[in-house]
Amino acid sequence: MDKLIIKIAEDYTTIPGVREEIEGDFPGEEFLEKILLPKFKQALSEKKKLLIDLDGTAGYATSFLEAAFGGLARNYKQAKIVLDTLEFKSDDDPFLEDDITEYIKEANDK
Amino acid sequence: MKKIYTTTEYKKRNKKRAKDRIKQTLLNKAKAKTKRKRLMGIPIVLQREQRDNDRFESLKAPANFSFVENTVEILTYFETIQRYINRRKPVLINLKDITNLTNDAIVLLLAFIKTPKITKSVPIRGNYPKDVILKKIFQESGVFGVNGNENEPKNYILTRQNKKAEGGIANELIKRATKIVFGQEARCVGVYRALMESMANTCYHAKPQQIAHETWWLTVYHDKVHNKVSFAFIDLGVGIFKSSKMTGFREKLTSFFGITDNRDVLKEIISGRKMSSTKIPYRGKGLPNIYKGLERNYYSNLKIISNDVKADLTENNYEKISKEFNGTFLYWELNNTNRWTS
Repeated sequence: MDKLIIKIAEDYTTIPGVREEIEGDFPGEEFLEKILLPKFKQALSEKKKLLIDLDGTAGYATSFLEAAFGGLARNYKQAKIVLDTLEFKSDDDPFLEDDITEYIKEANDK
Repeated sequence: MKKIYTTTEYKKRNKKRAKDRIKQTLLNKAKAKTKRKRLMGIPIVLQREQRDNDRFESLKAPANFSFVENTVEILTYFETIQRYINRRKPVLINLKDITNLTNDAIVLLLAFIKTPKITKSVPIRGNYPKDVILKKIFQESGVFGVNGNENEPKNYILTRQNKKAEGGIANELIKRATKIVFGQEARCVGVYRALMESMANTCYHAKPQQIAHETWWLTVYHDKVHNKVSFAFIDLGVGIFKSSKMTGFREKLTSFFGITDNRDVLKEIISGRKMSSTKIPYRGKGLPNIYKGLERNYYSNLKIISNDVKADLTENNYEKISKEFNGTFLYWELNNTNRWTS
């Protein structure tokens, strides 16, 4: 099956910020809105997987990841559809995939 | 009637007056001579500076000028400075006799004296330590604003300040730090995360409408002897336990588990043990993840000081401090045993 790909270091920035724009540049909410959500919708409509390549950046703040991937799960009001569609590549930080999965699963908890 | 100056009474009084005058003149001459001797060879500029300094109240700093090692004494010292400032008395921060200095104290001093709402426009000055090495560190830190040429290479210490979370600053500091520790510019995703989380935490003040009002300060210090780089981050906001993000979480901890001591609150925050019933809102994951960075060996020797708690997370030691620190302080070290990516 074909995959859509987002390489954050190339498609967005090498220095991701935090959650909101008011807190600093390249926030997770902006990444969700401008890049992740449109690509995710495309992946769903084309019934493809969406590979997120996390390598090549300086690192990620928790709030960036939570706003982006947790925000995506909140957008669809469920974690399953997000987890079933997304795949991750993270050689720089082997813990990142587990962290993101946790944020997605917990995103809709009150 | 004409005054008769030949009376005994007049002569006696005149003699006494003359004697007193000559005594005073001699005394003044002696004083002037002593002063001349004291100032002999000292350039006129320095003499003027000395005279100027005399207006300031000299407050002697604790010999162990380390916030991490000597927390209560350092906080007491800053409290004393604040008292003089409140009385609008100019202060001289007297560091001449300090014998130990760490970058965490420098960053605290920087944040303190460069925050207008603390200094209230009262003049503050400082002198440098007698110790040559400590003096150099201080000069390079630019704490007293006389660090000379901006282009001068600063081998020991770098300082940055901002109100927002700046990935560019974090990245720049990591590159410099890794060049020192690992011999090449590298990426440390854990350090980047810790820096960004610390900066982001500063944005959230006690009042949510005051987002990004508070300034954070960061110093990065290269310890050549131990080949490690230490990061000291500080903000003089309200502290972790009074932050707007913590209000709901604290209330739940108290009602569910009866936890009121801030040491226990911090343990709960970083361990996440009871999250299922007292869930931290999704905005509150920064601190637990800074702790995860230590567990994952992205850095070492993580310490946190905030409000009435001082925690050494490497040693799992949580201490209640007798002086309240209104702010958040984070410290960690990067050495060649920590994880990095080329």
